[in-house]
Amino acid sequence: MSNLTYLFAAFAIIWLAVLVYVLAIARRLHSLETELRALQQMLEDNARKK
Amino acid sequence: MKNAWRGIAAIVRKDLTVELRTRETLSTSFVFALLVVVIFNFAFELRVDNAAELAPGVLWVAFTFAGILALNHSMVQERESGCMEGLMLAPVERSVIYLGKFVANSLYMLLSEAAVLPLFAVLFGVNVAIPLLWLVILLGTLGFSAAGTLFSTMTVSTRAREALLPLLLFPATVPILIAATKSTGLLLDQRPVSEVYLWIRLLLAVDTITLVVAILGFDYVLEE
Amino acid sequence: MSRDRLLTVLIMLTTLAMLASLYLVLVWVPTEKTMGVIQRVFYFHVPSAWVAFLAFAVAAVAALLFLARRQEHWDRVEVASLELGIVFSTVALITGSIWARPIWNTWWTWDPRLTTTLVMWIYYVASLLLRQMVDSPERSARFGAVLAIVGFVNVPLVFLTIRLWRTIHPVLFTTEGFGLAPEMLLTLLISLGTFTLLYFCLLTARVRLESLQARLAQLRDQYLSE
Repeated sequence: MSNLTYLFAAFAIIWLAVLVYVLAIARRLHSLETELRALQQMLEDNARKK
Repeated sequence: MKNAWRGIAAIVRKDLTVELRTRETLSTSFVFALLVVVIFNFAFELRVDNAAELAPGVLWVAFTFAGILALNHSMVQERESGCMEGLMLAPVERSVIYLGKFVANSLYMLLSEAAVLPLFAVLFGVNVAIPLLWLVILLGTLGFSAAGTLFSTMTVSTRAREALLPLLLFPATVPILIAATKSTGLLLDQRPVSEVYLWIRLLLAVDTITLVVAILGFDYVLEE
Repeated sequence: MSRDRLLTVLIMLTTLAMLASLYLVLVWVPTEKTMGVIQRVFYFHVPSAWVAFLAFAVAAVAALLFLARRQEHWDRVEVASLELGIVFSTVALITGSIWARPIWNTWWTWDPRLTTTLVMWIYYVASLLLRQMVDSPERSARFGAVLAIVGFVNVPLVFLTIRLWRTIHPVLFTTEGFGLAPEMLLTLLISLGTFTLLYFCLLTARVRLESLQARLAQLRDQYLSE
């Protein structure tokens, strides 16, 4: 592996690490949104029943 | 103040009484330490020319692994017998409970170590009749036990129990282990005492910091 | 909402800083004589390690504040900062390894800084694991705080002890075997700024996520109890 390839590997790792972390946050945000929608639905159903 | 001493003595007495009846902790940690010494000796004899060079490391690996066993045993027993709740209800400060367990755990470790040391000396062909070495072993054990008592109180409440303690305790005691192993090596090699004093002073300093931080932290660990 | 704006501003600043850093590191700064192109990793390797250290410091401070005031916000900051500390430590360790390989033909050097990073990496990962494994959330936060503080107190002790040990046995490899030209220093400092901004960016986002999740859980409980 040439030196440049090693440099690429190093930079790639940094990007991957940050992106994986961002992905983890994004995934939890998504489940948060789903839960929020479910809760909203339940509130609407309840309001309709009353 | 006198109440504190009595409290500590009571906890130590309780632990030792239970231990003398079952001998579980002492026997398992002694056997484990012995096992480590024998296995390493065996492994190195087959490949390494001068096994005695590796002796200090082996000794401390044996002591720390056995120490982990002792700490786990000590805390799990506390938890399973419901004794911890009882202790917390007693009119004593948390630091007294900590110090009591710390002394008891240290005694367990020191007793196992005292039993393993002569066998280690025989297997590795080193002279261990050096009082300064015993001081180093004492200081290293106290530091390890100080941190260990704090961490084991936390890890024993988790679902993974025993598995997490080494992961936390070894990184936390790296300074103690390095200083202890280094001193042991210098003493076994019969280097001039002036060289060893640096490491012993370091060991003493780290031990003090560890003990103080552990006492402070324990109050927050045992809050309920 | 000022919190939303804070995050947006941070993201924009970080992006600009990252672009500037990439240009400086890959185009502008002169190539180092002895190590060649691979030396450019240094400009991201060192800031990663520094930011990891910063993250663990912030975590320890947040832990102290949590134990003193018992406000959940500080617990969230602490956990987020610990996670980021681990991420940046991982980056520092791997880039250090990649740097070592072509230069010294080894994947690992027992340099005091790298060794300290590795040891503390294990400790902090175990701390987060312990938090997950404690059933009561209150106790989990309390234990986590104690571990974060103890861990950070340990960092200088570990580093100093290893360095003392290693100076008596001569270190075979050092990660800084070269002098720093002024261009290199500038590039390094700007990279440090970039990574610090990145850290604060991710920290803010992560803490927001946690607090939103908590609020949602609270609303849900409120709703279900009616």
